[in-house]
Amino acid sequence: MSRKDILQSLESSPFKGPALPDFNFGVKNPTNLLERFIASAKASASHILETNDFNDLTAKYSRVINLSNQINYKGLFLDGINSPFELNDIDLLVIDGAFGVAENGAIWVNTDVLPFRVLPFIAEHLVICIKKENLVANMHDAYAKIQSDDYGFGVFIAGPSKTADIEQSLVIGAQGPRSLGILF
Amino acid sequence: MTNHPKNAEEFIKDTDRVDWHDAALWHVRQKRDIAVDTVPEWEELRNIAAQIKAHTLANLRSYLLDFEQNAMANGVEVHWAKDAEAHNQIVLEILQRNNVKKIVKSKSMLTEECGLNPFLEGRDFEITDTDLGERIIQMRQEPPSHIVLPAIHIKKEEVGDLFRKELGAEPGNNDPAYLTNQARIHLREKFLQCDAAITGVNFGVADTGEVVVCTNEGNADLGVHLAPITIHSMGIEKLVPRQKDLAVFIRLLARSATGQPITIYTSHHKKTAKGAEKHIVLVDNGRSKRLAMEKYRSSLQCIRCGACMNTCPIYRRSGGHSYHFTIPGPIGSILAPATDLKAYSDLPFASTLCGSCGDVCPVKIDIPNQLYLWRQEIAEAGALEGKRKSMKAASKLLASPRSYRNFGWLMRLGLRFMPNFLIINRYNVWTKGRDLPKPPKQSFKDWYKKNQR
Amino acid sequence: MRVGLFIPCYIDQFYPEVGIATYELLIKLGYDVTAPMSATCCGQPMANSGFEGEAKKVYHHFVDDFAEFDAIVMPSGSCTMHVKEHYTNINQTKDVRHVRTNTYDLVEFLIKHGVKKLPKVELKAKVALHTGCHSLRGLGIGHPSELYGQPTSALRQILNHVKGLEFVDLDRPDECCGFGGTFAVTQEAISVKMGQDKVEDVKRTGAEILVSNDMSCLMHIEGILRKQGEKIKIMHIAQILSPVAEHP
Ligand code: SF4
Repeated sequence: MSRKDILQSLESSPFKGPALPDFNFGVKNPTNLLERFIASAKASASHILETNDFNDLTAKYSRVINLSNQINYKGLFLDGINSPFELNDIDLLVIDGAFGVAENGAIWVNTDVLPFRVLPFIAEHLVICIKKENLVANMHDAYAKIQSDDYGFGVFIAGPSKTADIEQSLVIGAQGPRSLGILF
Repeated sequence: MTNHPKNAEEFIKDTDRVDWHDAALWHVRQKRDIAVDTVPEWEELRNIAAQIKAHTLANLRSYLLDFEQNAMANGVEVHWAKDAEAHNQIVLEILQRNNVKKIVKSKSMLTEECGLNPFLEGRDFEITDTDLGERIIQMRQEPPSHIVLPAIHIKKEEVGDLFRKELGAEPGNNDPAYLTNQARIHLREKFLQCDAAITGVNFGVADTGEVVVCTNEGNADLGVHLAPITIHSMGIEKLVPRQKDLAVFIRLLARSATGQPITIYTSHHKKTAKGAEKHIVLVDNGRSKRLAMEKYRSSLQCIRCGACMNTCPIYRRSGGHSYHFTIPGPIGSILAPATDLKAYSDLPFASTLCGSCGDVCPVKIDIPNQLYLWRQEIAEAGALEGKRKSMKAASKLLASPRSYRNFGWLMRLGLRFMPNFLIINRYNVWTKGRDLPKPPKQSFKDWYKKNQR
Repeated sequence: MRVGLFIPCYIDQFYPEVGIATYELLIKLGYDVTAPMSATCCGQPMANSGFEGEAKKVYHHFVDDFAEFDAIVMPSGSCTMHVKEHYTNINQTKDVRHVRTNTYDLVEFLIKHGVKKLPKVELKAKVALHTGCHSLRGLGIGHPSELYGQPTSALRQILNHVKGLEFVDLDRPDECCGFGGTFAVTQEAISVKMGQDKVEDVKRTGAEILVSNDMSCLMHIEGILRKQGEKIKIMHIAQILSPVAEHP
């Protein structure tokens, strides 16, 4: 029985460690959150979209799914789709993000509001809508917010999927979305 | 027997490749430095991270039990594997029970450590590594040479040739963007056919029972959220006590690894999705044994960022494969001897003890000191018997001023009068790439005797 | 203050001028300096090879030689670090503790006891700097580039007092030169490659002199420079602060 063995082995040579440290790096009165978030997001190859840009995007792609409550756009519906394997041909997916993190341009997405968890990863292009007032300074503030979020699966998304596995040259659009647009 | 100096000598023969390898990794180190300098509390974060990890390791038993309980409450099945074999058996059993044929796997040094791929391939499963770098080395049938950049030793022309052969890519096109897209098409097909997904784990959170996986490509999430069966393989040292501890580690991890402020995806897998099955396999495989070794315990704090490799002047010039162990570089050199002292007795010596690895390590593992300690242990175990005699002689010489004086005098005399061609021969290792210093007529002590005030 | 000057074995035998320069400098600064004739080695070469048991005999010998001094100074950061960090592994007598806590690398000693008192010297030359890794990261002489904040060099801080020097920056100022004691022989290929890369970096800057506080690094780097027929000079920082004849 591995479980018993491991627990026993851990018990057999106890030692003392330091106390669990407390820390507080949250930022009390953050300034310039929007500016800093935008700079971080751009550095990570995300696009900040204006309404025109968004309209251009939806005009460019034929298979657009809108699951955002923040934006008024009627795309195609996911009715009748029962398996995530049927989602492979989405050109553009629009969803809501809960909040953004200024220090790294990441957006917290709780996929429990989506019909399928795989959606933000399988779409060719992704747009996330967030509200300007929903920005925090850093990851400490972010986890303070998440603490009260009940999610089955949640993810920080910080840009379009990317890789540098071939000779360290950066390629945007690895396995997931080829672009990430952020719409306020 | 393979050993680091020999392997390194082989790697170094191709000067262009070495310089390119060195430059590529140095570039990553520089990106790290820039990212670090954006976080004024960086050194404080490192201290806290080290404390959290040390605390967790000292209380691992109870945190593992918390984790198990909370994960089960999330609808996850938790398994315990005391070694690699047990891990592979558990995975096999889950796969067989669910009639799985095709598996997609995202990056996991643990499954590499357990030899899961060959184990499953030998039983007629199709297992596809889906991280681009991992897929490349899987096609080439070789192990990763770096824990974050598994294919860092391979040039784009070689990837081009490989993809031509394996994927029918167009000849002559070695553009990384083109090649990446070829892989994307190929891997998307694999994703759409998979029956199960296997991932590694960056962090397990005791108080929520969730596991966190950090990636850039999106491959881990495609697999997990498509496949009806998911298995997260997790070393027991990956735990952190509280969810809020993640903030510290997430801030450190990507900045240390690649200079990004955060990976593109930081995925928090908590509850099992409707209609799906989720498993976590907790693996010991020597970790609890290492935990009992006071001097080397802190090596279990490692969060596998790879920074110690990128900064290591030896690693950059010898390549990951020269270490002949699953985890290469400085951290590998202190992990390996605990698994087999004899087979890896060369690794703690693959260092100048320059100390850079200890300085970059986000969880402050005292790697240089542990390298030093392993050297003592290796000598004690008698793995260096050839050397002991000369060390004894040197010690005797240096503990006795008189014999030392005679020896020095002989040495200088010898250097002055021996013809160059005798010194620069193949028996004298120093002079292969270096000249010897010009021997002076008198030593400092000779001068001092006459001139001291 | 009574200063015990330790001249490591390879400096004694191969670079007496560095020992002499260090001695003269300390005398000029007004210290009562003695270099015990019975001194040999700090034991590092054996200990780093895994034979600390053998090295400990040398540790005791070292302590016997130097326990009587108020401070022990040596032109080698690497030996200093070894005494400070590893003499903890022998019985901690009063003498051992005294030696451990009062041993300084020359640069460390100068910074502690006043850079301002340095003799006035002038040298017109383009210089590049190399701080030995054990000094930089082990002793904390300067601030390495891996840690948060601006990297700094203690050598630079001292040499700023020398007139006429023009400093040039290496691309990788605190990359290890590859000496590493017995590493230089057991890992010959990498050691030489690291040294060659260091030399390339120095050449790129157009430096005429490479200055270090660690002679062992310089011995290795010089070996490579000479093999290449390069004319770039190597100098220990003591030789700049207290010019004496070469190869006396
Ligand atoms: S030892 Fe430290 S630097 Fe090296 S991979 Fe582990 S965490 Fe990163």
